[in-house]
This record gives sequence, C-alpha cells and structure tokens, in this order.
Amino acid sequence: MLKLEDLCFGYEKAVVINHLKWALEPGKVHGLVGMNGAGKTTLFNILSGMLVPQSGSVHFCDQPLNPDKCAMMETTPFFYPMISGKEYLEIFRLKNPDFNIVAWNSVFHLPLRELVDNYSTGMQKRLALMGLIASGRALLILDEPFNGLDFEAVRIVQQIIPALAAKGKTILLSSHIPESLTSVCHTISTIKEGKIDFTLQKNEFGRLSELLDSENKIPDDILQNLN
Amino acid sequence: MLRAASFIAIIHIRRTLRIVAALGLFRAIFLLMLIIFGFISTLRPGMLPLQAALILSLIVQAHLTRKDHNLLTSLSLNKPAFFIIIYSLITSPFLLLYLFLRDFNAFLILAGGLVLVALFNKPVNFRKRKFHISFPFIPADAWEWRAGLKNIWWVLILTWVVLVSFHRHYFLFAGSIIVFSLVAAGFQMYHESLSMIRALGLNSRQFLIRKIYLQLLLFLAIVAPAMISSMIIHPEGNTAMLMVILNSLLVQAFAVSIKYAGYRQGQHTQYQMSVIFLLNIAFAIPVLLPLPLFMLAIYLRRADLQLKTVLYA
Repeated sequence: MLKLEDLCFGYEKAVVINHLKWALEPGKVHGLVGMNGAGKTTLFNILSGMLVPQSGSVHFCDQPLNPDKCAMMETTPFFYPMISGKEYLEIFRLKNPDFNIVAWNSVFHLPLRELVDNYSTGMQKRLALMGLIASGRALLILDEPFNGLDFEAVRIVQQIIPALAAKGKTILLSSHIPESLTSVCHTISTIKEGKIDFTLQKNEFGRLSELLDSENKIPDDILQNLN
Repeated sequence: MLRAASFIAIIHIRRTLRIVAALGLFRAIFLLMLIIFGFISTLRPGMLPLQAALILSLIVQAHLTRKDHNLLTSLSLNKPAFFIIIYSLITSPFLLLYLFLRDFNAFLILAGGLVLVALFNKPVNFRKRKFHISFPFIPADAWEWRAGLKNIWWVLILTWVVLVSFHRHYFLFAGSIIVFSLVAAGFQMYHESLSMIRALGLNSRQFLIRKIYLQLLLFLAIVAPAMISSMIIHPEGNTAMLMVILNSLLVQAFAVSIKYAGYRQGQHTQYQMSVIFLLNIAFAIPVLLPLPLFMLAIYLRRADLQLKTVLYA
C-alpha cells in the first residue's frame, strides 16, 4: 500500500500540493488526472525523491518511502547525447542484472545499436519505458506516458502496464486526457488545487465524463454563438 | 557505487569520442591541437592552478546544467558520493599529475572543487526575486540583455562597489572587465524562439550583424566606467587594459557567433561558458593569444549558415 498523508509542497508562496491524502493499493494501476499546473508532476517528483515535501509523509508497504523503491518516466525522457539504446539500457542493468534486453526488445522492436539521437519521439518514449521496466522497482511512475506515442506503442503500453501490475507492482500514471487512462487503470483520481478531488473505481469510470463536465462544461449559448 | 560510476564514466568517454568523431577529421585535429597547446602552456610553474581551475569550470558547468536527475534517481545514483567518484575517475590523470609535480594548490583546487560541486545533487532552481528592475531603454531586440540584466544587475553593482572601494589596485580593474565579459557572454547562452528571430524581418547576415553590434555596444556601456576610471587612475596600465578590452570585445562577438552557430530553438549552448572562460584569459597565455580571433572567424561563418538553415527551413 502506498499511503500519502497530509502532504504539502509549494514553490515560494504558490501552494501546489495542499494537505494531500491518498491511499493506493499495490498490484494495481492508478491513474491521476488533472488540469495543467494542478500538481501532478510535482507530486510525482516528491514520490520519486526529486523534491522533498514541506510536511506530511509518504509510506510504502508500511515503511517511509525509500527512493530506491521507485522509478519514474518523465513526460519528455532525458537521454545523454550520442548514447546508443543498448548503452542506455545497460545502465539500468547495473541495478537489475536479470533484465533481458534481447527478450524485451522482441516486444518493443527498437534498433538498440543506433544512437538515441536518431530515434523518433515515439521510439524514445518506448526506450524510456523499457528503462523503467529494467529498473525493476516496485513503484513505477509514468508522467504522461501516452504523449507522443504512435498507435502501435500505445497498444504496447496498454498491454504491458496491467501485466506489470499483475506481478505486484504499484503503477501510477498521469494524463490530462482522462479517456486515455480508462483502458489501463484500475482506479482514476483527479487532483485539484493540490488535493485529491475524487477517486473512481473501474466499474465507475462511466461517471468520469459527467463528473469532469459538471465543472468544465461550456454553456450551450456560447457554443451556439461560435462562428 | 564504484562499479556503477566506472561503467557510466566509460559510457561518457564513448559518447565524447563519438562527438569528437562527428566533428570530422580536420576539426578533431584542430581541437586536439588546441587541447595539447593549452595543456603544455599551462604546465609551466605557477600555471597549474589555472589549468585546474579551467578543468573544474568544465565540470561545474556540466554538473549544474545536467538533466539526468531523474535517470540517476531511478538508479539510486543521484548522490554526492557517486559524483565524487565519477568526477575523480574522469579527472584522475590531472589529479595524479598535480601530486606527481607536487603542486598541491592545483590539486586542492581541483579535488576540493569536485567535492563541493558534488554536494549539489538537486536541480538548480534560482529563487525568483520579488524585487525586479526593468531596463526599457535597452533596444527590444537585445532581449538577452533585458532578461540577463534583470537577473544579475546586482553582480554588476557589486563589482562596481568593489572597484570603488579598492580603486588603488590596478588588477581589480582588469579583473572587473573579465567578470563583465563573462557575465555579458553568458547572456547569449540560451536560445530564443525562432519566431523572435523571424519577427525582426532581417536576413541571416543582417541579423547576425545587428546582434553583434548590440552585444558590443551594450558591453562597452557596462565596462565604460571601469575602463575610463582605470585609464585616469592607472595610466601606466593602459596597454594591458587595451589588450583586455580588445580581447573581451572579440569574446563578445564570439559569444553571439557560437550561439547562432549551434542555434536550436529553446536549447542552450553546451560548454559555452567554459570556452568563453578560456578565451577570456587568452590574452594572458601567449600561445592562446590569436585564438579568439581565429574562433570568431570560424564560428561567424557557421552562425550565418545555421541561421540561413533555420530561417529558410
């Protein structure tokens, strides 16, 4: 169980995470939806150890969360210039020697001997996802994983993520497009003003549009008067 | 951690060799010659600390502008101990050389500097100041200066205060020109959006001339008080001051050229400040004396080509 209690974080005077409480079951995929600037990436950076919360606690399996348990894939993954795909993955094998690059690449189909600089955006994202899997961590965080992915890569992600969760990993992924999460997630939560606004279980996903539209619906008269 | 640091150091060395190979044979030989000349000329007694400071400046810049925080955190390697090991491995030939030549100042500058910089393992986020000064009198197309001065006007004020307080020391005047030169060249490190370049409606050559003209003009404006005061108070040092000013002007033109030679919207020029630092002190190392002029000639042409490419793409 990943448990966030009374978490607070802000930049200067701007409060981004405001007494946030959230409990996530292990072995499941949890989606997080929020507007731009709602605090999704900040929350993920806190969980991955990149930022230190100003107050509150994060517990994973009843222990304070150790960054060694967590790996994160950024929205725009970083690669060292002039590094090959194979070299990038070999870095992850330092911590997880059992990761079989050849076997996993039969799923991802990447030209691993080529330099990452020559990869397309989608290929870079696939490589970053392979790196995330190669890290072998129990808590995996994916920030906007579907951005820039082609159709084939989206299908790969949609199959792999639930399979990893079934092996006991806790997976947390974000999107600002709620519909992109319904096919992979067991729960979807929304973050608003630094707090978890509501959480829906898989059988309640049908209510997602209704709940989101209740606040963001454009009045009919404006829509009718559009040129 | 030693194994991980060694492995990643080897990957960095391989990447560096690929980058050098991508330069082509002529440029790679030219670069190698520069490094060898620079290395030999700083082997003289008393020059090793300067060499150590130069190597340290390369490491500091690479460390503070690195973007691998998340990658290393995911591997539990974003820790001071990791950086101390990897930087020590990379600079070990120099550290051993300083110990062998018994230049402990150089050793301490490099080793101490590495340890200090390794302690900063979080992304560097400069605090946003509440108090802002704007500079509306600076031409709008000198956007680097408007933004740059807003952030570091206090460095200039501090330098002037030091100069006024210790005006009897001639070397401070020359030193302040070098500081101003580094600061002004630093303004050119970040690449603006393409739409800003296009908005001026100039062709690549006109744009480059305009940017260099603004850089030289504004640089002269900020160094003028120090330059004139030095000429009045310390007329015996006018020749040296002239050398520093000329060298700094070349460096300013070079800073604009190197920016646009490798222009990529939203990016920043890698290792720009290390090259600028080297060129700024070129007047003090005879073998490097013609270097700023030589580099300017090369990069001016490349900047023009790159701007043509991006403007007409």
